Formats: sequence, C-alpha cells, structure tokens
Amino acid sequence: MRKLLQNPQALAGGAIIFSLALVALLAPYISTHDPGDPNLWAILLPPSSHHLLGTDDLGRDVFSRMVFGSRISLLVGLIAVGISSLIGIILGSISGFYGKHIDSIIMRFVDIMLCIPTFFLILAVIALIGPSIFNIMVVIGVTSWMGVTRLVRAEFLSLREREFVLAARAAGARNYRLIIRHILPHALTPIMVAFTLGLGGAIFIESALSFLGIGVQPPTPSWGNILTEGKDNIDIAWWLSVFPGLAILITVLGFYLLAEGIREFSNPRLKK
Amino acid sequence: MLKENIDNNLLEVRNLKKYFPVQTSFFSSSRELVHAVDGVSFGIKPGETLGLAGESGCGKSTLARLILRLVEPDSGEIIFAGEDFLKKRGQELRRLRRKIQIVFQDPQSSLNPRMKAGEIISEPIQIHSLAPSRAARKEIVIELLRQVGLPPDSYSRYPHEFSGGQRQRIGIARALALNPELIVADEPVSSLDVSIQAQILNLFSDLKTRKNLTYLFISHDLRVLSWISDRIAVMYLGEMTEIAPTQELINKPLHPYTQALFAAVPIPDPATQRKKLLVPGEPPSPIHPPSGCRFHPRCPFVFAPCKDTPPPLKPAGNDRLVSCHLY
Amino acid sequence: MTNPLLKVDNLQTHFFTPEGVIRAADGISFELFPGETLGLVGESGSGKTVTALSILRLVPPPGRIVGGRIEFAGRDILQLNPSELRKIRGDRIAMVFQEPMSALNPVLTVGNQVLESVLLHQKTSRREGRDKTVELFKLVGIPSPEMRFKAYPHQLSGGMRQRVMLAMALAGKPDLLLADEPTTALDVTIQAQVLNLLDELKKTLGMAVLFITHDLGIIAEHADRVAICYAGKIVEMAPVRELFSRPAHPYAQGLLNSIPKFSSGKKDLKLTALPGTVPDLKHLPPGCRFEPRCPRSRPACREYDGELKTMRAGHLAACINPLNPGE
Repeated sequence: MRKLLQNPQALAGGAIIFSLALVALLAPYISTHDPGDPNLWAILLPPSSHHLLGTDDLGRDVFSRMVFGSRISLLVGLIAVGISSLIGIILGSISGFYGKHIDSIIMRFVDIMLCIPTFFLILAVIALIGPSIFNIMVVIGVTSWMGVTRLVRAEFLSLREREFVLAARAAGARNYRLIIRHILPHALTPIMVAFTLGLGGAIFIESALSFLGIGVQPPTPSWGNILTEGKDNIDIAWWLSVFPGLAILITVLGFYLLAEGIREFSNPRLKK
Repeated sequence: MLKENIDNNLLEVRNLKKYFPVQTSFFSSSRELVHAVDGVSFGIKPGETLGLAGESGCGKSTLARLILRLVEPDSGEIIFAGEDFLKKRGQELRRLRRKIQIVFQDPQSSLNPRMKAGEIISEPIQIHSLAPSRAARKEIVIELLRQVGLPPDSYSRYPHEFSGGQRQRIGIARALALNPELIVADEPVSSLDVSIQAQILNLFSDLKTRKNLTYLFISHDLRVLSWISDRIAVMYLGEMTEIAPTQELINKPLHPYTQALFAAVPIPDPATQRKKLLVPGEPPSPIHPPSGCRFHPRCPFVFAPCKDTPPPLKPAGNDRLVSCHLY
Repeated sequence: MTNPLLKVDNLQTHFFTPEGVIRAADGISFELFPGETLGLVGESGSGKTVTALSILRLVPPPGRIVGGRIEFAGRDILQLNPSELRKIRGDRIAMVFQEPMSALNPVLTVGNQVLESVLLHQKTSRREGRDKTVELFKLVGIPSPEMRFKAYPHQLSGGMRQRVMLAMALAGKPDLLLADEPTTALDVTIQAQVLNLLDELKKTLGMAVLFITHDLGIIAEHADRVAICYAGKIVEMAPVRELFSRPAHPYAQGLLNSIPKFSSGKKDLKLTALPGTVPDLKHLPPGCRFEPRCPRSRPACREYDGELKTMRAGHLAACINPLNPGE
C-alpha cells in the first residue's frame, strides 16, 4: 500500500477520488444552500462569493446542487460497476475454468452483447422500464460486463494449468477452492484496474442519460441533469454547463489515473 | 508376466492412452491428434522406485498427470492397491487421491506465490480434515518442515523468500502432508543446480526409507535415475521401449534406443574412453508417429519387420521387458 | 609456448540494482590459447555467462564492466572504439547461446539470417553469399540445406536451430567461439550430436572455444582445460584430467561428488552433497566465498582474498587448505 502511494499517478487519482467521496459524504455540511430551493430573486447569477458557481434558471445554487449531485454520480458508478464486475467475474471464472462447451456458449453470448451498441441498448431499456436511479444502475450494470468477463476468462485460462493449481487438485481440492483460493487472487489486479476504469465509464453514461433527459429525474440533482438544464441557457449562463462538465471530466480522470497507477504498481518488473 | 506379480503391484497401469487434439491450420477443420501416451503398461511394486526415462515430448509428463488423474485418459486402466482408480468418483476418488501425490519440476511455479509455506503445506491437511484443530495442523506442518530439512520459522515465509532447493523441499513437504503411499516425482531436480540436486536426491532417498514410500521418479537425466531407481522404464514417442532393473540396464541396455540414450550421457571421468553410439536424426512428430517400431527411422539395427510391425513389449530374461524385434 | 589468444585479467563486471551492487564477475582471470577448449563451469550465479558477455562487451544494463583487462590477439577489447569492436564481434569472436529460439528472428527465414552474417563478414555478392550459406549449413550438418534455407525458426527443432546458430557464428570464420550452455536446452541424444559436431568443427577450423556449462560430464569429454567458477571468482583451473583426478579446491571436489555416477550402483550409498546454498552476491561472506559451506574451512579462510595459487604446473586453486596438495 505504501508502495502504491509512491506512484504519482495513483496518488493523484486517489486524491481526486478521496476528495470526491468526502464531498459526497459531507454534502449537507459543505453545501451553502438547499439544492432544491428555488429563489426567484437570484435567477442565472454568475459565480460570486455568495453563489460560488452561480445559480440556475430557477435561482438554485449550482455549487450546492453539484455537491449533492456527486452522491448520485458516485453511487450510480459504484453500484453499476459492482453489478457488471460481479457478473463478469462469475461468467469469466466459469468460462475460463471449465472451458469446452460452457466456455463456447458464454463467449458467443459475449460476442453477441458486444455487437449491440451498448448505449442504444441502455436507451431502449430505460425507455421501456422507465427512468429511476435504481433502473439506471441495474441497466448500466447488466450491459457492461463483457470486458470483465473476457479479462477474467483470459486470466483463468492461463492460471488453471499452472502447477500450483494442479498440485492443489492432486491434494483433492474441490473446484470452488481452486477458483477462490488459488486462481481468483491472481486475477484480482486486472479486475481492479477494470473496475476503476469502469467506474469512470458508468458515471459518464449516467451523465449522458441524464443529459438526454432519461436519466436521473429532476428535482434530484445529478451532474448529468444539471448539464441538461444548462444547455438551454448556454449562451447566457456558461457556468451551468462548464462546471458539471468539468466535474465529470475530473472524476473520470481521477479513476483513470488510479487504474493506471494500480496497473503500473502491480507490474512485477517494477515491483522488485 | 505372472498373475501373482500383477496382484503384488501397488500401481498397475494397463494400456493407457491419451491423445491430445491439435488444430494444425486455421482453415482445416479436421483435427489432428498428438499421440502423447499410446498404450503404456507397467507396474510398480510396493516400496520400489521406478525411474521413468525419456526425452522431451516422449509423453512421460503426460503419463504422470494421467496417473494422478489431473488429465483424464482416453482409455486404459489404472489399478492402485487393487482398486480401479479410473472408475472412482466423488468421495471415493478423494480418498484414493490422498494416497498418490505429486512433486513437480519447477518449484517456482508449483507453489502459490501468494500463500505462505505453512499454508501451502497445511492445505491438503485442511482439505481432508486430517487435524482436529488449527493448532494441531500447525504442529503437523512444523514436523513436516523438519522432515524435509527446513527450520520451523519457514512456516510464515512466502515462496519467493526461499532458494530453489528450499522451494522444492516445500513442494515435497506438501506431497508428504497426506501420508501418501505413492509419490510421482516429475523431473523434481531438473531445475536445480548440481550441488543442490544432490541434497534433494538424498532427501528423496531418506524419506523413502523412513516413510516406506513408493516412487515413480521421472527424469531425462539417466545419471540421476540410475542412482535413485530400482528399475528403469524408458519411453520413446508415447510408447514404452524397455523396462529393466537398473544395474542390468546400465550393464546391458537391450533396446537400441536405450543404448543410444546411455551412450549419449556425458561421463564426468576423462579417463574413460567410450565408443559412442550416435543415433542420427531427431524424434519424429508425435502427430504422425512412424509405422511399425517408432524408433525404426533412427535405428542402426533396423531390419525387415521393423517398418511394418510394431514390436510388443515382451519378456527378455530376468524381470526385463523390451519392445524390439531383435529379441 | 605460444601467446594466448585471449587473456582476461582481473575482470570485474557488476550489476547496479536498486537493491544493491551484484558482483557477478569479481576478479576473473584466465588465458585461452589458439585451438584450445576451455570449459568454464559453475552453478547459476557463478559469473560464467557474465564473463562471456563481458568479452564481447554485451553486458546488459544495469551491468557494467568496472575493472580489468580483456586482451584479444594483443589488443584490449575494453579500449576499442565502437567500429573496431564491431570488427571483432562476429568476425573474430562469435557466440552461441543456450536458447537458439530467442536468438533467432522469428519472421525471417533462417537462410536469410545466416546469409546476413555471411554478407556482413565476407566481401561477396549476394549470390555467392547464398552458396556460402548453403555450404555453412552443410558444414554444421543440416540435412537438405537448400530446403532448410527457406525454413522459419519455428519450423525447425531445437537441435536444428542450434545448428543454424552455429552456422551463423561460423559465418565470420572466428578465431574464438563463446559457447554459452549451447546444449542445455537439448535432449541427450541431440546434445551428443551437437557436441560431436562442435568437436569436428574445432578440429577442421582450428578455433578456440570457451565452453560454458554446468555439466562436468560435458567438460570431461570435450574440454582441454577447465576453470571452475564460484560466486564471481574462479576457484580452480587445471587441465581436465588433472582436475578430475586430483581436485584441489573443496568446491571442485564437492561438485564432482554431487554427480550421481553409473558405476555407484548401490543406493544405500548417499550422494555427498554440499550443504547450504550459493551466497547472495549482494551480501558476500568475508574472505573465501565458499568458506560457509566448506568442510575444510579454517579460521584463516575468513581473511583469505581468494587469490589463485599454483598447486602444480598449470594447476591453480584458490584455497589455503587444498586437497591433494602439490609437492
């Protein structure tokens, strides 16, 4: 862990994620106004000392809305990627460990899923079942597990014939023990990298959905729908689009840096 | 072979076969088969060390994995202590597996790098619930460490903290953890330096007498095999070519391939001047093994029947078997 | 006596790693005469490969030659400028490696790769070079050389690849061949073929060979003199027969005893193994580096700098309490 902190990329990424998590956690204490409270006397004010990031067309404080919006964005990211990673790890393990027909079936299914443009699939499903935070998390989760599956499968394929796995099998270990104790731990690093990269992606998809108006529904603030509302007034109130856009950018960058850092850190040649 | 002889064997392998499919080219749909182990039969008596010799690709490693059922054979029989090993399933299989353990060639890759030595050795004990408590298990492991010549504090160290020879000792301790009757050692000293190799060979020999073990000892190094084995079996291209008591095999190898193999071993004594039997050519591909005797294209004594008729493994005097038309 | 072809004097090649300085070769000195085969023997980490790489100035970073002289045909290789060095590499000194697969370019035919070296070292046209390449293939015993010219490395067996490497090394008609474990990756029967070939080539071409190996058997059969390395130093150097019959350094004797021999048929005889392992080159023991493992160690050994002493004519050993001491 100390070695990981010596990696500048991981450190920068980690710092960004940590601050974001802190903001989300302490939202009620950090925000300067009630994020849902309209104020007709303060419509579309530019950033000032009173409204740090200005106000929107209903006079709501953009800073406070973004602070609360970080909760939604991070939550959607974590849960969605949690779901996709879980599916990916399970399918990938089964595919890579058992091989043969099960492997062919799962891999063909992955190919089919990859042929469908994910974003339009998500759009279609959300349109069908209706937008809610829960639905969005689940739909993003069940449509983005293919990468992890392939990754885990590849790791399992190369690890399952390793001699220490054979030795455990010769000692009478059952399959679940081989998978959980002997193979999966070695696949964890690439899974973590994929998880971190996935987080940025999921937050981005949520924002895009909200931007299109079928994501998180107002009045609940999310970075995506702040951005959506901002687009109507982009000519007169730049701050409504620029700040949520920047927030998304920085978050994705933060996760990306962390993922790169982990990848570099876990490279055995650099380790020792 | 006499019937009683067979019944006395701890391990009896009959006509074992394993072919692996290989895709030869991207466009051809027909799969070709590597004849890795092609009808191998032999037996090991209790308390005996049978050495298995052969060059790379002759199928000796596959044979080891088949005997442990890490790879399922296509056909044949494996009888262990009178029981049909290949017919066992579930609990029965696990019970029988305890009695056959394996030591691998490369102690680097055969130890899980993320587990401590103690955890590696105690895992088999845990799997088979052989110790009543965690403390009892640790006690057994410390004792095993002592038996293979490692200090007790090795228990909480990781594989990378050990030297190659010490890692192989851990691999041996793991194999011993289940109190097996048969240990299959697959090139266990090939990756070690000469001075360390001698230490590990001595350890194998000590453990055998102390624990009343039976070994199937696989090696490409005839010097090692002739030191440790009671009998030596020689494989070529998936088939058994000769089985004989060690001293007799050294004194008078019968099969031309065995002769070539012994002649090729460099002897660390500049005073001996030997006439070398150099066989020409290289082992052919195990995908299309030669017809008849598989050694015939390289054999200096090849004659009429060799090209077409595969020679059976037949008795050739005192406890010897050879698969050659010359005898 | 003739002048030595190669004279290595107090060579020091160290590797500067973040964890500390590895003194891989630490004061290596020897001479090699024209037409002679000197065996350089040692276990992993003894400095034998690094010595060979140093002679061609091919030590990979973080390694660096930090001291000593390497005199080849009267010139110090360490003082040559890059273009002079290139003239020596391949032209007068060539090297073959243990793993020919990684030393060959996988996307070029072996014929073209050997042709490249021929064109590099001999002033001929491409057509003539082609004939010379086929000639070289014949010389190293590659069957149907015209056909093999168009083969890619992966289409050849290990033995054939090593022959191709030899052909490439011989393209410049070198005076000195550095052979780094050239047969270790090969099966015994193939090893015997390649060693035989090397002996013949040496005779016909009159090259000197520095033969690096861990196998004393090969040395006994194919070298004229032998130098034994331990932890970055040469501990004993002698004519082959002399070393095998009267080893002086306890390590040399330990190595000889570690090898199982065919004649020692009885198994109750233990191999006399050296205890312990090779020292960590980053933390070397004071004095004689073999002292911690030595059965003949004395307190004075811890102050002895490991300088080679003359035992008999042509027989040097770095020991103050040698076996078979001279008159």
